[in-house]
Amino acid sequence: MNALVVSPILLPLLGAVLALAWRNSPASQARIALWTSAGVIVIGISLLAALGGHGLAITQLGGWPVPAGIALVSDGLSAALVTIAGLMIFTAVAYRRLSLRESDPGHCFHPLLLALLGGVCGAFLTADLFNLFVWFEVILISSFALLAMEGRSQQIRASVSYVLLNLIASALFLIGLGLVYGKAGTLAMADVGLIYQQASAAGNGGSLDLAFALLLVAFAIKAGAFPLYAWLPASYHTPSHAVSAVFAGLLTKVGVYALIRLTTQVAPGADWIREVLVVIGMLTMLMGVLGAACQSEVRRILSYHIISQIGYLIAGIAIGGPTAIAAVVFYLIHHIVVKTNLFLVGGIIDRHRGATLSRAAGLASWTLLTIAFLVPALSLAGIPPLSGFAAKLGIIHAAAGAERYGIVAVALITGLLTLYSMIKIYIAAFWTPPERVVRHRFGLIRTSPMLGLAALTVVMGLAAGPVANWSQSVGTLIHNVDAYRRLAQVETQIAEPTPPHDALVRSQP
Amino acid sequence: MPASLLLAAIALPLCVAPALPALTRRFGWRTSWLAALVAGLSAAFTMAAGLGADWSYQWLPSLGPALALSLDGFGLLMSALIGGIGAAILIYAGGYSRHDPHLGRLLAWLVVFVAAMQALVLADDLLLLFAAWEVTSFASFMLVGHSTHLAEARAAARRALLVTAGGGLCLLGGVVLLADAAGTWRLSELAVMTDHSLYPAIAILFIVAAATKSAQFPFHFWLPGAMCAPTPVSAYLHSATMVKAGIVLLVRMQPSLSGSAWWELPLLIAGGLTIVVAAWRCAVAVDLKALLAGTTLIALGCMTVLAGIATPSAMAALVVFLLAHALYKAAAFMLAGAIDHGAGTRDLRVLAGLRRAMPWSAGLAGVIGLSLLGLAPSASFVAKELLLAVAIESGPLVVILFGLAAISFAFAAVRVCWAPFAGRPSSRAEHAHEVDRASLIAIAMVAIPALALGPLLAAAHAVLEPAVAAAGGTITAYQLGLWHGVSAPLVIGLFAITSGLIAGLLLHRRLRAWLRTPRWWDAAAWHDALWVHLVALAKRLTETMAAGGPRAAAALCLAVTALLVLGVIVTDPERLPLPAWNADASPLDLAALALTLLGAGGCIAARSRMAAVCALGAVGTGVTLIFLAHSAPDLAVTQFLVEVLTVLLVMLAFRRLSDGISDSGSKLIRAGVALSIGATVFVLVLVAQGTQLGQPVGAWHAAAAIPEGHGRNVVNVILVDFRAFDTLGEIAVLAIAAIGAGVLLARHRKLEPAT
Amino acid sequence: MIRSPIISTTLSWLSPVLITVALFLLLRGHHEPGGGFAGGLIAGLVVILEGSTRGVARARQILRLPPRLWMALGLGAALASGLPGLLSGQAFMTAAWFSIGTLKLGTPLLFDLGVFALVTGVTASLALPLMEDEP
Repeated sequence: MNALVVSPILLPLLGAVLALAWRNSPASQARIALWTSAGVIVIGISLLAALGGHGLAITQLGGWPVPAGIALVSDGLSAALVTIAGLMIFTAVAYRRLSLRESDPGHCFHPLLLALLGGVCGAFLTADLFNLFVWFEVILISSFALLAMEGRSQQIRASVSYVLLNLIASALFLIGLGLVYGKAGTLAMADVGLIYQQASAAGNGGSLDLAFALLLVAFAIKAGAFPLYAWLPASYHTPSHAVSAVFAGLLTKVGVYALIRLTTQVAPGADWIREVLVVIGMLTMLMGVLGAACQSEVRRILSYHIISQIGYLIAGIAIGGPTAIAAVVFYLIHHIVVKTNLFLVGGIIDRHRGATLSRAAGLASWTLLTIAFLVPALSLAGIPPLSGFAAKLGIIHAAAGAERYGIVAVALITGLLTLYSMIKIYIAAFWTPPERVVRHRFGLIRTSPMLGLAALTVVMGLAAGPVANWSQSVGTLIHNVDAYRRLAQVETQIAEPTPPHDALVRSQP
Repeated sequence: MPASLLLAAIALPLCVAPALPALTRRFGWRTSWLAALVAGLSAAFTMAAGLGADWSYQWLPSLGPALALSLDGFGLLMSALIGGIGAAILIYAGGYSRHDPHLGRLLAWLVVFVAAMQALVLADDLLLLFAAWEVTSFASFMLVGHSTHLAEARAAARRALLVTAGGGLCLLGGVVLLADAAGTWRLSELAVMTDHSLYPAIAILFIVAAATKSAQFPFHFWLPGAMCAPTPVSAYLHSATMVKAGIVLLVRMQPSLSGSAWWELPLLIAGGLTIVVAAWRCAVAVDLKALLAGTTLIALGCMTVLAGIATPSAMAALVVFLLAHALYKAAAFMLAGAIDHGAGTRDLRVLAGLRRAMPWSAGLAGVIGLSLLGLAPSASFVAKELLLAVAIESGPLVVILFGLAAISFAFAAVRVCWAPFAGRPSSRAEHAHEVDRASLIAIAMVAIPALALGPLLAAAHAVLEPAVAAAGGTITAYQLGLWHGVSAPLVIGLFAITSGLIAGLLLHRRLRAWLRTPRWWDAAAWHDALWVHLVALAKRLTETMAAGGPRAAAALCLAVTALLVLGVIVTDPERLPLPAWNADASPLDLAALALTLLGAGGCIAARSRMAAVCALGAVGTGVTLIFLAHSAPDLAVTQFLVEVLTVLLVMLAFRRLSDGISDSGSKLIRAGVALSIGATVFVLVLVAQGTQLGQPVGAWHAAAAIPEGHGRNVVNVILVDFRAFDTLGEIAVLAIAAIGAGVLLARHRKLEPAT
Repeated sequence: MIRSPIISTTLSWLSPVLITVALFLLLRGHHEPGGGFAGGLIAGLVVILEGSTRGVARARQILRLPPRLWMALGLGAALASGLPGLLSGQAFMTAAWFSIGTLKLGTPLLFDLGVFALVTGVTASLALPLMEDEP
């Protein structure tokens, strides 16, 4: 278990080092990236198989007991997200070679992509708040490099917004962590949660509430929530197509994941956070989808859609409780797959037709691409029996069950507006007759990365029952802070801190 | 076995549909016969399954909804109509669209549609009902937009989808609320909900859903627009089946939701207004299909009104009318398509004298005309009798509405089934030709039953009774008979037919002039305008959010932080244990403080980048001093070295830039944001001084450094051992940053070669 | 590049001293203030000083390996220092210690060495391109 839990982080980092060493051969770099991400997928699946919905696995790095050392804890959610993250990187690398047939992307492309994967897996696995911060930094810096890599002025401008706002998020996160450590004396998530619970019961959890306020803003910026999402629409349409697909699938979701952990484990029972999130969630849904409705470029439309979907997720987190979190888990996985897929297709449209919808036309002759677009688009709009339907239903059902009818109403309106812009893309790119006829074909192999993800969407929709059962047990487990704490068996290991005096390096000029 | 037959009725068309495009490429239009066979089989399967058959599969057990099918009388009737009419129309499509290069796609979506409709009428689960509903909406979108090269078709398809999907979302809302309120997803287990606190919302949501699908006022506009679809599509979706989905929904929900003003009034108002508006549309229509679309709207309006009345006799009339209308209206649409093909136009003003060129069509037109008129012995005559009887029970307003409907039907019968064939052949008629045999067979397949069923209805009472009963109605064999003596319904009906005939034969031109639609009265334009305005609003909002660029966004983030922290403090100030003011500072502390303040002030005042960087370096040195003063030599060394290196690197980088600081934007706002975030952090630092809530883990680190970590320098042991994983991540960050910077610098050099 | 014989001469003896200090900080770090990070920073400082006075080529010569490889080596060493624990069935980064006489050596030292190499490489790879093409 030790190796299984840590290797989704080590493997990509090792891969990045290796790829960096092979910098003169783009083909071997791509092969390394493919094999590494495939390895992460395999590890993720084995973790998932071993854990199911109820299981937990821990490795205490360096053998040091929590909270003195850092632990990685994998529950079903972490395992699933690790798997999906590996899959997205795998698909993106394959897409770049098979679908776009781009030449050398630069010798740092694959190492950076792998570093990003390592960071994302680290964020999904760690059970320590400061360690989470570290992986956030890995993600931020590697994504920044990927974003600005081609050095076009549009990309540089975008990356300024991106880095500025995300650095603010990091700073807030760090200040919040300082306060958390100052108050709770620990940075292990479940321990902070337990101390917060005890302090709230005693009526003095207020100082931790302040720290959580900072974490909340930091995670909300990372997730792209209203009104802090400015960095997202400013940047997502600028990088190369494979990169923006990876961003679309993974980056904001790390923020959402952190919000899940914050509300359930770090700050259990902090109702004010959820009340704030209700408002944020609804506004994010609406503002995102309205932003999408008025855009005229494929990737910009899709970028704003990410925001609106983040709103769904935040609303689900805000509702809280095992059922709602289960719905969020389902939605999260569905969303990553679908969104990446749409950006992949959007990249093809962009490449062959241009960014604006008025120039994208007549792609219907590429039947496979049409399918590869329609499946995720309809899934996103929540058309049954695709995965988006069960996902949306879960959130709406949880909202109705919690008598949050405002969320129900906003979610439904957002659904209609989502369909509106998906149809806008579809009609413009696939139905409108082209000015000049496309001669060459876009065959099975070129479409395969997108079709693969589309198939996953269909399967997840049809097998919604098992997936929902699994996410239900994950949702229940996540709320069980004690389970995570007991796992580390803290009480037995860290006792009697009576330091020998000379052990402290003190007052040495 | 019955269970799997039910499933097969849906699965068979669903499985065959994807293969149809390929088959059509191979076998051409003949594939339509296969498609028709599939549709027919799907109806045969449900019939073979027999009443009471059911099937279910736990699709989402954690939430409760299942894929549950069950067959009651109403479902059986609808299923037979869907399969039977579907078969006829698929045959017709093979003839009508023989030269369409995308015939395969057309057939495939029509067959998908058959499956979705079967699922809709067989569903015993609210969620499956909704799922089927959405699939019909989407299939309809694909079919209305079939002629993708026509901008008009694309617009109509989009409009149809937005309206029906909007209704679909209302349905989803209603379904979720209803399931939550009733505690079950099964249709057959729903209790009467009128006393529930959510009942009004649920009822309205379901009614809106039904109104969008069945094109009831104010959502009626999408249906005439959808007429730009190929005629088989119009005949199937927009007359016989899809538009009936709304009615099916009302029928299914009527047991648990009817019986209050929340149900009755909206349905009466929507149905009534639809009848009036559509009658107007009929009177001014110049297009054959537009006229038929108008009568479809009227028929749906009548059914909506009946569902609103919801008495047993009203539900009975609804079921019989639904049956009759589905048959004759499909036939009438196919006839319209035949005329369109034969004569090359659908313009009622120029169609005349086709009887010689199209004798078979003319004969079938006569058959359809009788049904459309509502004359004995057609099934629609029986239906009309029942309708008017209900109207007389329910009051004069309903009598007027149904009378108007009957007049419009008669008017349409004359204009569609008589006028194009009668009179002197126009120039068009000379070039007209009879349509192909497949089309004629298809028309006959539904037109003749529509007429012949009338006398048989009474005999078929035993078959029809379960359907009526399942819809919540009661009916006797006598009521299904053709002759009940000279009764009020008969008199009203004859009067209406006479008026309709007069209007259709003599007054139609004048009607068109009198009733010219005012320009503002175009619901489709209203709908489009609504979206245009919504998008404009969205644009304004989005631009407001993005205005000001990254700087404004950063300020917003900081302001939100300050507000949130302030909010937490204000909502419960007593929870925050602020420490007592501790003022004993050492001289080193004071020196560090002074240096830091000086640096910060210098940074603000700096007029050049270099000066600002140096000032920041001073701040860093101040921090170094603080570390030194508080016994953290490791941190001090590192901090100092990092400061030196940062200043060096930044200066190296800044040599390339112009050495001025751009100074735009309001200083006041920036100062405000800076001060508020500074104050926030100050408060946080104060709070951090307060009492500890938990044992600090640092003490353990200090204790364990030598025995466990084999090192006296606790900081180093933490960095390379206790929390080495953090360090690993951080050095990875450093490496990535260096790589990224290297890439950017290399690009930069390539793009703008250094001089 | 600042061409000044005084600085150049000063550096010719200052650089070795600084490098010694860097190594000293690295090695004593486990017990006294210092460590791989601080050591690496000083080594990086040397590279910058050399580069800006005696030329980038000279700085690269002192480094011997390209900065990129220093980074790769450093990250590789840090990762590798965690592997013995993992391979012996314990958690990643579980320290393994062995003593030669009174000197205790362990994987954490390898880790610190990695940090040192990486920080040196990072500093150099950031600074050298900036100094290479004078504006």
